[in-house]
This record gives sequence, structure tokens and C-alpha cells, in this order.
Amino acid sequence: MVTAVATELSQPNDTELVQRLRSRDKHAMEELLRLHGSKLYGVALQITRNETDAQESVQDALINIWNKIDHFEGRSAFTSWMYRVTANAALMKLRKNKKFEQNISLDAGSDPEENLPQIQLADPASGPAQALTRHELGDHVRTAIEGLPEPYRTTVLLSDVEELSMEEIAAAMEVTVPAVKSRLHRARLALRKTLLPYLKEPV
Amino acid sequence: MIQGVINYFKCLLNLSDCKNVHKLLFDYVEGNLPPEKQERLTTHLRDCPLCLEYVQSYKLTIKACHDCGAPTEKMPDELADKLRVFIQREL
Repeated sequence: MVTAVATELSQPNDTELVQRLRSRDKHAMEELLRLHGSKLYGVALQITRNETDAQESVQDALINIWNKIDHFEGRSAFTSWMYRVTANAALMKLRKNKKFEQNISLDAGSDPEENLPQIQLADPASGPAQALTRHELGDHVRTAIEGLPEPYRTTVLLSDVEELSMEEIAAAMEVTVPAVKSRLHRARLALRKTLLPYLKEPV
Repeated sequence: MIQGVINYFKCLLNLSDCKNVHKLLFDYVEGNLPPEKQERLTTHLRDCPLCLEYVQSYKLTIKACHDCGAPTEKMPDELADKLRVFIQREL
């Protein structure tokens, strides 16, 4: 069992880190912070869009990682698990601050493409036919996601960027799984429309 | 060229399948459809370049979010210092 868990971890460093966390080594938490702190902060900031909330979310996430490390079964990469814990902490913060009010009706029409506003991006300077670097595409993708109204922005972030399951998102956002699917589909269609000129495999 | 014209007319004859692609796109991409429906749409995509392009661009959108949508912010040094103290004192 231990061997199976170890082989499924993403990196040797993470395997060791998990073992040290399980043996209640606080220096391992500091190591985790050094290695993954920026990513955890980025996830929290992307969800809360507020520095103070993001900082508190990271602190809450660290507490949860420390307290729930034995719940990590190694079925996914340790980094993915940490990001999910952080995303959940950020969502709790949003929920507490009641920032989930929708600004777009979900039931406005039967055509999912009708409901979301077109997101504006800069004209593709190098021409749509030219493949972008991952960095350039990343700028467009993040801007497009940022332009989505809530709750679509958070839903697509949690699903397609942070890879939480539909069930996890539904639980965290306190909605049904079908509502998550509907929001996710509409968000993807809006992003597709915006990103269409850039959708080539990154070079 | 000739194949393109043939495909175009095939598309016209299979508009109900085109509608199904739009209707079932989410579940098709997620692999949630019953096998026979999944297979029927896959077969339709082989014959319908418009639907194929639509589905591919939807999949590429998901891939772009996954590959490039992650945040790039760096944790502020003051926060890192504060959290290190928190770890040692509070955990």
C-alpha cells in the first residue's frame, strides 16, 4: 500500500515531504511553503481576487494540509491535492463574504451561448494563424477567464484550471452537480468564442 | 476538394446529428454519454468537418485553460515570512 502510494506521487520531493508531514515535522511545512507557496497564493488570489482574502486563505489551507495530511491517499499528485485544499479554503472565504451573488441569470434562455457577454481581448497582433508561445496563450487565457462573470469564472477556474471534480465544486459552491455542469459548459462556450483566434497548440 | 463537397452534402443530410453535437457537446467531451450515443456522434464527426472543428475548438479551450490558465503570481516575501512564523508558533 505504501509502495503504491509512493509510486503515484508526482515527484520524489513530494513523497519525502508527505512522509515528513505525516511525522509532524514543521520544517516540512516550511519546505512546502518555499516550494509551493507561490502557487497556493496564486490559486487563492485567482479565486478571491482580493489580497487579504488570499493571504488568509493560504493560511487556512496550510492549517488544513497540516491537519488532514493523513486524508491524502496518493490517488492524485500531492500538488493537485494541495491546490484543491487551497481552492476550497478560498471558496470558504468567498462564501463567508457572500461574494457568490450571480450577476448573470442562469435561466435567461435555453441557448447556453446567449447568456454570457463577449469577453474583449486585444486583437491578435501576430495574426490568428501563427501559433503562440505557452506564455502568450496563458496571458490570453487568464484575461479571458478573468473577464467571465461570476459564478462562471470560479466554476471554470476550479474545474478546468485546478481540476476539482464536479462533486467537489458543487459541494464547495453549495449548488447541484447539474448546475455546475451548466455553468461550466456556458463558461467554456464563452471562452471558446473569445479564444478562437488563439486556439492552436502552443509552440 | 471533391471530398469536401461530399462532406458538405452529408452534413446537410445529417442536420439532426449536427444539432445533437451542440446539444450533447458537454457530455460527449466529458465521456458521459451511453456508448451507442457516444459512438454515433464520433461517427458523425468523421463526416462533418463543421461539427468536428466545433468540438475540437471546445476541447482546445479546455486544454488551454488547463495548460495555461494557472496563476503566475509570486507570493509576497512579507507573507512568506508571516506564514513561516505562523507555522512554527501556531501549528
